[in-house]
Amino acid sequence: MKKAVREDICDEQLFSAIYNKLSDSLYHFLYYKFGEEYLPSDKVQEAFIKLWKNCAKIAPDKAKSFLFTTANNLMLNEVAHKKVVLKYQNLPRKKSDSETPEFVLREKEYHAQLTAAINRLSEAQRVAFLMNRIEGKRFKEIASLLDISVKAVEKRVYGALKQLRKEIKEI
Amino acid sequence: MDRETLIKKWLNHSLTEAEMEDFKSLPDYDELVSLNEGLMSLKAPNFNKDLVWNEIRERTQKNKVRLLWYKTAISIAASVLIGFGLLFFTNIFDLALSTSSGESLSVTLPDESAVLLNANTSIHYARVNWSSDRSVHLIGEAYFKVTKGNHFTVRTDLGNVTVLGTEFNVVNRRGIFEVMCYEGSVSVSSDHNEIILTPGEGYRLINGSPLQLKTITTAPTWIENESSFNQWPLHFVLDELERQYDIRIDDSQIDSQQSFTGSFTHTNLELALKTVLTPFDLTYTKEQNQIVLVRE
Repeated sequence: MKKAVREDICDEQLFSAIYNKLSDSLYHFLYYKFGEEYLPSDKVQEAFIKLWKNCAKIAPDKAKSFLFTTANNLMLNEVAHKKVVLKYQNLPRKKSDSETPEFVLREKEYHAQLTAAINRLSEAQRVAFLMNRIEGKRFKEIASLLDISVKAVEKRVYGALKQLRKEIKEI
Repeated sequence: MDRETLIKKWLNHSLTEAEMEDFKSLPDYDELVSLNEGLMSLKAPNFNKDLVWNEIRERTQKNKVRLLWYKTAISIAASVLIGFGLLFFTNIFDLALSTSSGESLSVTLPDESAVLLNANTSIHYARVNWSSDRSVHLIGEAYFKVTKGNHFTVRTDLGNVTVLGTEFNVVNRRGIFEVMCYEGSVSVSSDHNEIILTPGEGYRLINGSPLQLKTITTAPTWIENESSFNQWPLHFVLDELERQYDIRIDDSQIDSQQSFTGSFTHTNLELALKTVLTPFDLTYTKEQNQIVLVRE
């Protein structure tokens, strides 16, 4: 039987370990849910500071849900139901002979449509789908981060894929 | 395995090699792959983990300090009181002497040792216990003639000079520390090392880099109203001009990092400026106490 070593997280090493383990995921969660306009990395910072201030009241296994809930609430306070828009970044792509002007234009259109379709997904679908596709997380990891079942993650990710393919085909 | 299961397994990054082959043969394989590639352009910008961590640390540490403040307030107050007390008493027993620009001052210490302060220099020493602890704190430049006895120490922020009885000159100004020995022997210790100087030898530390020096004079020339320099940075020489004549020199238009070897008199400003500036092809304009250096 496992025994909890500590009842709280008021220990600098433990706190730093929690940061190393969860800060990236928390940041991705916020970014894919709310976009970059509301400074997700600031919310990560705020959430961890709140975690430290409340460290005496929080058991190690509750730190994750505290962080995600706190950061989410911080975000909601600010966003106030505004429409979230993910930005399409111009990443350097490999050049090939097929890059005729028509090809480039088609690529551009495709990306614009894809971005628009992503923005039309529900928040829940988008977060699960992008953490899975872009950050390469398995269903199980996402389930544990979001405190939902693996089956629910699978449903969100697969549902998002289906909807995207449908929307893109229609155009 | 049916199509939907394959796609779900692909999504979950859990296809085996054999299943991967099946997945690749699906009619919608190409479409899925290009969709997947397209998604990468939406990747979140890099999260600066270290930067955010440092800010968290900074803000949580501050919080800690605030908590501690209440606990330590009383002890701080107490130490302030004690500090004032100590300051009051040490002022009585401590003697500080200083010169301003253009001045020099001859001081005789309790043991008859003589100290000659150059311009803009200050020393302080404890009058109590002088016979058992002969030590003087120095900022600026001074020439010491120490009578024989116990160890005599000149303390500066860049290093200490220890002697038994001898004549030597010490400079401690803005990152420059120089000791020149004229008689007997002196021991110089700084962060870098400890060396013994014999008459005619010197040691200089400019911004942390040490240099061994030689001289043939038997006393620093500044006590005879002439400042001499052996490969000094020009800006230091200009500083010395400012100190000796109580003037301000603007060297922003010239390169003051070049090194200067030579001397200038303390009794004739125009002549002094000429002797320093002519080798560098520099001239100057003078307005009251303000001197601006320009290239010729």
